[in-house]
Amino acid sequence: MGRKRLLSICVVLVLAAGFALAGGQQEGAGGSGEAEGPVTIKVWNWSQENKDFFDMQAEAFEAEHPNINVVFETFAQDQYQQTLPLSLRSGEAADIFWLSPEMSAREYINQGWIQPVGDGLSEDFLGQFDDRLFVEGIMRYDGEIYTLPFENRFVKLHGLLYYNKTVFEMAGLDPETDMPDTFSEFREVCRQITEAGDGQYYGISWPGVGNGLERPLQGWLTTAAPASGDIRYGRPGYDYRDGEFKLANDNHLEVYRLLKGLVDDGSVAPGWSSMKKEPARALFGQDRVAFHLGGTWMPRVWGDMGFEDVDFGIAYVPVPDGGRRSYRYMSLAKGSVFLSAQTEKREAALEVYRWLHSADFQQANFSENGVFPGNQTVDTSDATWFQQRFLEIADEVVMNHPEPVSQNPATAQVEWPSVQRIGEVFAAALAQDEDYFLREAATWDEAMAEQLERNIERAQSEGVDVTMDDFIFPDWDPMENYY
Amino acid sequence: MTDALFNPGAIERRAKRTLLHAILITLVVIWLYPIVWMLATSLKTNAQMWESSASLIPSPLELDNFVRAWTTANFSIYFFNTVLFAVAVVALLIFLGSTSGYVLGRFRFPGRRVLLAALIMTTVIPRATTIIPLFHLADMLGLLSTRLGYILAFTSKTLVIAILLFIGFYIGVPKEMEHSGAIDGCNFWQLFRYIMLPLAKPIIATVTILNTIGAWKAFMIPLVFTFSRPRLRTLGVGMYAFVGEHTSDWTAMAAGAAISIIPMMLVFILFQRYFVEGLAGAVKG
Repeated sequence: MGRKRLLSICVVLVLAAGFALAGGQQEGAGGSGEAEGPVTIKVWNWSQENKDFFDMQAEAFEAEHPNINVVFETFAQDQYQQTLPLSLRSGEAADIFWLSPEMSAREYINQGWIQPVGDGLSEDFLGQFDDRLFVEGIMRYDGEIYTLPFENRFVKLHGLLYYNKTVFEMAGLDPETDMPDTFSEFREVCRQITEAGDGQYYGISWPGVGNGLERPLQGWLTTAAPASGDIRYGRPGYDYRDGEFKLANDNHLEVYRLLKGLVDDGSVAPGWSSMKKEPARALFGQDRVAFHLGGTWMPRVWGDMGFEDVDFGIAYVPVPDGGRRSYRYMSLAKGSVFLSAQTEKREAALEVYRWLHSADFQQANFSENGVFPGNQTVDTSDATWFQQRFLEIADEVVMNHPEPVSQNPATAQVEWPSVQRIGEVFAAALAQDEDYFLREAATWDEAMAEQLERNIERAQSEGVDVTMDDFIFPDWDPMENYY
Repeated sequence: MTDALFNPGAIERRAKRTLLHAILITLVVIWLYPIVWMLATSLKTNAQMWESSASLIPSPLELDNFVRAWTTANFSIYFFNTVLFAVAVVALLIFLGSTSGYVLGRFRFPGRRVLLAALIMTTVIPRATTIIPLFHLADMLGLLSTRLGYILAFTSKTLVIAILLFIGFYIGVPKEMEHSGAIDGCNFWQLFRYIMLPLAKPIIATVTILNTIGAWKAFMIPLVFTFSRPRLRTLGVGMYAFVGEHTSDWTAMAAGAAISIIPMMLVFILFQRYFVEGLAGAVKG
């Protein structure tokens, strides 16, 4: 009885405290612009690893701008994509927020969720950025500048070829002289390393679950398949020269044969088909594979995983035996940082927006986090050896390709078809054979073409002046920069 | 004794029992492995976790994970919020569920069937589709960015199941129980409070355990209802602080999980007997 009474009293006390604290009182999103004291500007993104850096920078900014309080909030990326629209619908969103550059800002503009920033930025300030990006559908919408390049995506490469010097040494190879240049050489080196490893280490690791194979493909396809030169921000499988989808062609098939050969040789770390990206990366950090393809952020990832001492180098991705047929075509990537249309403190929010893109902030972001700055006035001479290597590689292998928006801005209003990620098509086919790959790739091509045609027709029915011809560039030479 | 030892029936029974125990022990080991793995991982460095992922022996012990869990994921604040959230949700569910379940289960009145059908139909509505209407409702009521807002939102989400559990229980209670109370002079409220509610302990325990766990790991509602006031968030949201853009802090996440399951285990140990009875549908007078 006594125990019951005690339990009841505890519950009542907790509830009383809870409801007293629960209250119905709402706190606005940083208070109104007319409130006394500093105004609060909230900034949202998904770079959780960089939260401490952002907070530290915010403190420095606030010291110089006592009337503005900057609050950075970070979210896990998956949750961010779900919660941002909700917060905007309810008017609870941040004043400044990040959007994935893979997304079109058009929907956010149509919903009235973001506002132009160009009128709040001087010509001098805008001149600090790559002017190729200020075109309709990229940084500009309906003639107005909505965003700026926060980072330099021409250098933020995906699918770089990292090699592990320790594994090379253990296998009796020298990276200086034995680094493979072609697909066949790569397969042979992986085979040799795997044989020498005798179950202790292997040629390469990649994640085969879901879309995990996309990262390695972002390396291989850029040397072999013009139609897939930029599978991250571009239009994989689409050939700008004739407007056809070509996943089922010889170029992609050659990459498939390389990957299938590596699998058949046993050169891929065991368990790849059910492996997620982190275990695949860990194998490289543990000196258990010689190669891993990943983005420019990999050195930091290995550090965060506890493999600070991994001895690695970065090589050019091997090309097909018949020679290079393609480059890494970086799209004119869309911006990532946007100003909420709901902010009640536009002037202060613009001040923060300018600061985020200023040379000072971007210099610190480059030095601390390795983010290549969108602001071109930033001095990158203090780059680490691997950042310099990224710059060298980008200089050599990055090209731009045609952008339909430059031919007709209205193309930005046509939704690009989405059937299945090509990483998934390749991963499924690696467990089968070449015929299976060609069959699935042909199905993919057909579905993409049908969907594109439908999307263009839908846009036309909504009054958008656009045709299939706007997506075709017959004079494009994949071996040259288009712009 | 010797006869019993060599009795074929006894040997068979012993063999069966031994086999059964072996199977059960294997199942327990399989069942417990993830929890033990989580505790072991919470004491490893990130490199150790990747190098000897399956090992259950951390060496050396890395206690810093708990410090990171406590600070990075704001556990010091979120822990208190979560306790408050879970207790309030469970208290509301027991009060609303038991009273509604009593009336719907024991009494016949016009519209009862329609009401029951409507309640059951709400269980098949996908949860994801209700979050926006809930959000707007809370906004109109001025409950966004308040604890009360997310407590009520979460309660509304799970209330129907609680009501159905209580209905199922009360329907099976013999009418004589109420009659005896009425003879003793109990009024409507006293019948419920002193006779029917105490009988429903197994259901109360079931609702308590299921919803404490639910509230403990709730993510979407505590997140979207606290956009403006991150300090009101709960552990379910805090755990995502370890998920980065390119990599996740798994050992700190394991430490966070280790901290957060302790109250869960206490709740389960306290209510285990009733919970089992509730699931078995037992009724004790």
